Amino acid sequence: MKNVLCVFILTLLLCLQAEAFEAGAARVDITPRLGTPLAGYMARWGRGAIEVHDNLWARAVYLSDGETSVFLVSADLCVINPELRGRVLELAPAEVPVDHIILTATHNHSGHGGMVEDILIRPFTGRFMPDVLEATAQGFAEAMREAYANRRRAAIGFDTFTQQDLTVNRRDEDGPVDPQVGVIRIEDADGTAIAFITNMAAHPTTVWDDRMLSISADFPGFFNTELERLSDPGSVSLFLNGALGNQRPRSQGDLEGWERTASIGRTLAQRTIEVAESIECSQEPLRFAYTTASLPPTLVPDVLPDTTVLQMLEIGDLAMHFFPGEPCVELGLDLRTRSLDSGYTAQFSVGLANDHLFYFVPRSQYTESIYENEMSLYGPGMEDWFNRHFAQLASRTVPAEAYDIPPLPPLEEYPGGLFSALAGTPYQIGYQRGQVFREAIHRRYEDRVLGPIADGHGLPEEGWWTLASRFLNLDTIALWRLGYGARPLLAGLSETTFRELEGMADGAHLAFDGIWLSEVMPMLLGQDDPDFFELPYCTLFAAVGDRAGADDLLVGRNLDRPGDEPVTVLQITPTTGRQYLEIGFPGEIGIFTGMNNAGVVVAVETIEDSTTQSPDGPPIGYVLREVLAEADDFSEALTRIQGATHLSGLRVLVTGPDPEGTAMSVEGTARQVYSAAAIVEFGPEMHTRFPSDGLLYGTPVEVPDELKEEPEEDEEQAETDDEDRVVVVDSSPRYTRMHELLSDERIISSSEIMDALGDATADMAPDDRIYNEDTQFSAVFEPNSRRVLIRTRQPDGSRGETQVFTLDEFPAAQGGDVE
Amino acid sequence: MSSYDDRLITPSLRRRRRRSGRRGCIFPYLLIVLVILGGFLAWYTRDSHPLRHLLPTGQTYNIVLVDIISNRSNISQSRVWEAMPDAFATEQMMASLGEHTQVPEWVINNIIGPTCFLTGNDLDEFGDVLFLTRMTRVGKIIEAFHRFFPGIEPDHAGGLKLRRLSEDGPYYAVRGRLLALSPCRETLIKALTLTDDHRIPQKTLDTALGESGAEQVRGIISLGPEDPLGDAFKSLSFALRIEPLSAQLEFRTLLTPDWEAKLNPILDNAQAVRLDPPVEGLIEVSANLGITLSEVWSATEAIFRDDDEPSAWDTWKDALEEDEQAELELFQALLGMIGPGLRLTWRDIDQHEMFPLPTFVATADARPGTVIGFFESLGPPPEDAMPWESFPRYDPEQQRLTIPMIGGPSFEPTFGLIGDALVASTSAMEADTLLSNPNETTTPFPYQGNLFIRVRPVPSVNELMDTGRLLASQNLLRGHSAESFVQTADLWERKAAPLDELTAVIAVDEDGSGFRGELAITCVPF
Repeated sequence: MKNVLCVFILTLLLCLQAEAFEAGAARVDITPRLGTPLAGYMARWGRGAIEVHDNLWARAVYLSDGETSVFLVSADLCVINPELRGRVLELAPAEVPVDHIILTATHNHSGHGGMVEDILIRPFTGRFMPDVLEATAQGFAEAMREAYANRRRAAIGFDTFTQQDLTVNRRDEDGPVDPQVGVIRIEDADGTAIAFITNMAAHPTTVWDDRMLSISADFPGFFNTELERLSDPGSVSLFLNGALGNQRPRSQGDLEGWERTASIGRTLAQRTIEVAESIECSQEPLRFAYTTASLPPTLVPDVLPDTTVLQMLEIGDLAMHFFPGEPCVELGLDLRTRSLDSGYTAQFSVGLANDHLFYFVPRSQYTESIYENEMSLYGPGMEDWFNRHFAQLASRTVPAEAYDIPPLPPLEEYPGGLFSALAGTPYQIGYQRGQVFREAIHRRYEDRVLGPIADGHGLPEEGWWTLASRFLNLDTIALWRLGYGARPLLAGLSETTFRELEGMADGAHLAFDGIWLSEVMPMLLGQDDPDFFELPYCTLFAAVGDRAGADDLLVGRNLDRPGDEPVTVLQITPTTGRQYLEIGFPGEIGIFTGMNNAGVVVAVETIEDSTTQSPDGPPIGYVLREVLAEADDFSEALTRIQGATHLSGLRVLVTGPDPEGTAMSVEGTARQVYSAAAIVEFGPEMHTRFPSDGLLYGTPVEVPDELKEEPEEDEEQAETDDEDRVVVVDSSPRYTRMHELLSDERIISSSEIMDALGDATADMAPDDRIYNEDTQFSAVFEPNSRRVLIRTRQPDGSRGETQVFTLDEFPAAQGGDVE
Repeated sequence: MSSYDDRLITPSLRRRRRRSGRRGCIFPYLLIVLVILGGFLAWYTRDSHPLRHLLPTGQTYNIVLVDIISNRSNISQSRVWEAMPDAFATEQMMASLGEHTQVPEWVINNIIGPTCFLTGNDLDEFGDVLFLTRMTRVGKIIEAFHRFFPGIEPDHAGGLKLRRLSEDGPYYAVRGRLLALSPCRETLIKALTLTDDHRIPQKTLDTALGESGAEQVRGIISLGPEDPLGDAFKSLSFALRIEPLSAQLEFRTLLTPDWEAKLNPILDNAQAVRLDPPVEGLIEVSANLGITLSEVWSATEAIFRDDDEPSAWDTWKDALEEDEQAELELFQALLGMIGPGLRLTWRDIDQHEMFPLPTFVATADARPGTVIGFFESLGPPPEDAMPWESFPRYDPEQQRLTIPMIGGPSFEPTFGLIGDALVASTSAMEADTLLSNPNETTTPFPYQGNLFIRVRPVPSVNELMDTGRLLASQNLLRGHSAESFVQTADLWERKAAPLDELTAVIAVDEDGSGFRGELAITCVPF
């Protein structure tokens, strides 16, 4: 019986042993020979190293709780590039599944390059040296093999401490910083340290100037060496960099050069060892999760992949998130908050893991002209993208932005056009728009962006670039430059529009920058818009007050532009903000004709011989879009439009309810009119013009003398409008014709306006006709009835039947006689 | 027993029977007839028209084809044609040349004589080419039966008795045993009606016909100002031989007086010399014009510039800052030390460099003391210059000058000395290899002249196509994807595959009036 008990106990112990936490660590020298190019700074231009200041190492730790095992490797390299990762995984020991191997780089900018085959990346990493790649990969594999061979029963624990004097935000000294230093201690059964894993966010960029061609592990190298010196012999220190995108080491007093580099590393090591020594280790469970995630479309697919590996390691209550690039600190801090709120006691963000997809900036920085943004190539929504995917990897419920993909809305056809109703959050509306008009959006991108780039636009027009672009396809570089160059133009957009653009990009499966470039390319290249702005001969008209009869306000417009795209009417119903109708063409997000449910109507035409758009702010279509989405009345709409001083070469008709009311005299009777209209002309100077005798045209027309009665109005208003009511005889023939057709009518109806918009008087020059061969549609707005009547061009050139579209809600009409 | 039915015997038959009965007596008559016939044929097939009677004088080109029929197998089977662009359709042409035609071989051999003459003025389309050959007597007799050959139409032409081969074919005429053929009727008529003073002088013709060698084709082309290259050259004479695995072209050109004067500064001192060997590579050039590189530069630059224009040196100098002007003067001085012998080699393309870069190696005659003096005169880089900055850096111990540029060693111009030769390379690795193995440049070299060029098509094309593939695979090659470039690369590699080596040696005439040279193509055996 005693023997049986002994056997039982022994068996039990063996079982326990099999389930026990094991760990091993090792380091292997991966210092390359002199002459090997260094990676990190393009300023080196691929030149080879001229000295070794301190060696480069691949440090590996093997962790296993009996169920889950992982290799974690940290190397003194700038990045883990795909060629290196691919070869390392081929050479990796079979004891751990390759998916459970985490490869990270400390991001020292003085480690070797030479391992990238992609020619466009070589300026950062130097000549491709297959032997260096092979030797480095062998070093990684050897470190993993040794770590596994050194495995023994172990325990693990973690803690964090904060620092304020080692790192700083490199874009804004007062900007956000991640002060946390995360420490993991791994010790054997005797309490002897096996390894330390330390996590802090800062760019190792202290080796510079005259040391630029020196091989060095930078401050992480000094840190590791110092920590290994201070700790038990044989222990291995792994430094994992954090959300370091905009973080750098802080100055260390007057120290410069190697002294500064060493000081940062050694100071960090000394503080780390103090904390590490007090960490109580235990048999923490490991949980490892990974996914190969589809990335958002990028503007430069020839350089960057469309999928990437995301990994998450949980050690007890510690969550470690591995980013395949350089996240800015905002992303790391946000993810930490979310993780801690979900019950984790600590969270480490680890950058430069497994791949290098360049930078990830928060949405708020996407419009800024900063290096991190220039190197951010997957759109503004990456913070949400990471949060969403990491939340799926976590064992606990971590909050992430809801990205409910809306169902594809129906697209209804009417004679000569299309109609669809989009509703939801801005992202959802954009997503629907992208889905519905995917083909048109891609065609527009090809025509407006890829076409000009293929014709040589987007590259510096000088010297080497001109020569090289004759036989080299440098479209990737041009797209990169233009995409980044276009982002500051986003700055004037509202959050709503921004999100809608994001949704549209995702829905159309086109890079966000591609969508935006499709809109602003003509402005960036300083050329005329290839279609809309090509022909300025639209028609704008408004009748206000008694001239509009009971409607109080009627607006007419013809939109002229070449092409045969169907006229698209979209009813947009956002979860917040105003509902509106936009009349345009498939794939356009900017608005040139529209009305919101407050009765604000906008329409635009371009001024002849002045079609170049200024790149100092958003295009007109976006300005008007935001007016419709947010303006409650005429005065707000007018103020917003007048505020867009960067616009030029445009004439904007804006009308809407005027709660204050304006006194008008009709046949000697004073009356308060609660609608208003104006033309804002962005010519050499901005100029605003108001109706004359209740009529407003795109350009002033000669008004017959008998109609030039001075209305009775208050002096202030008279002063304001006096200049605007001067009769100008130099008017466009089409507006003169409109005036001929409509001015005799004391009260003008919608149908009369519609008929006038269809006028194609034969004795006028074709381009001068109101309804000409480029007129795509005529629209008459009845703002007080929340209706718009549309007649679109038919294949035979005639106008189709009138289609009526309405908005759902509308405030009660105001008005009445002045007492 | 006779089976005759007398009623069926006609008088003629009876006469015949009578004659047959006198067979022994007719032989002398037959002999006489044969003699007369033979005499007639001898007279009919006499060589009554000298070649020069149909050859106009002052033609732009006169080409002689030697034994073209017996050589046609060699010519048609040559691998040289495989390297020609598909648009030339030379492979199909040669295939049809080598095939047996419907016309019996013996007929062709008798129609086309051992020497053929091509002459004309139109160098663009050869629309007025006149082909002349001397038929054998048999050939002449065969031609006499042209009426029985389908497709040959008579053309009276005012009594000149032309004939036309098919409706759209060329015209021809026979005079004595001379066969004259041309696609242009006027050309043929003109040739048939030449007066003596419009015929090619006998001496000129003898010269053309007399230069018998191993060539299959030889000729002379007189160029006018309106002809291609006619501005620079007044004539080009050549001799060509094509074999299954090789082709040789010898040529001689005469410069126009205008260009002779322009090139005089370059050619005046050029004597054909035994050239020194360039470093082995994909394309090798060795030149020796008897003057320094600086003089070649100046003279060449002067050719393309108006007299009142400043020289390129002066233009550059004016555009530079004062301290930079000194560097330009130093560079000018260096060029003045280089020569007259200059060798340049394209070694390869380093596809691993930061950008794919071709590697060049040059060696040149130079005076070592002067070159070292030049190196030393450059002085050290500024004290605050980083080691990688692009300043010339001279190592007196190794007598080696380097200029760090960007990227790795393939873009690090390096200079050194081997004996009396200056070594220069765009690649530090190549230069160092050469400097450490100086014997490589002393291999015996058999070529004599002023310019030697050798191209190794297969490795050259492979190197270019590999680079193209690399660029295309990363979508960096304009107009090509990785897939589309496969076709382009295949075509080039297929065209280059038969060619082992192209060699050209050119020498300046002693009086500087023109050039003579030899171009040789050797092919890879089947």
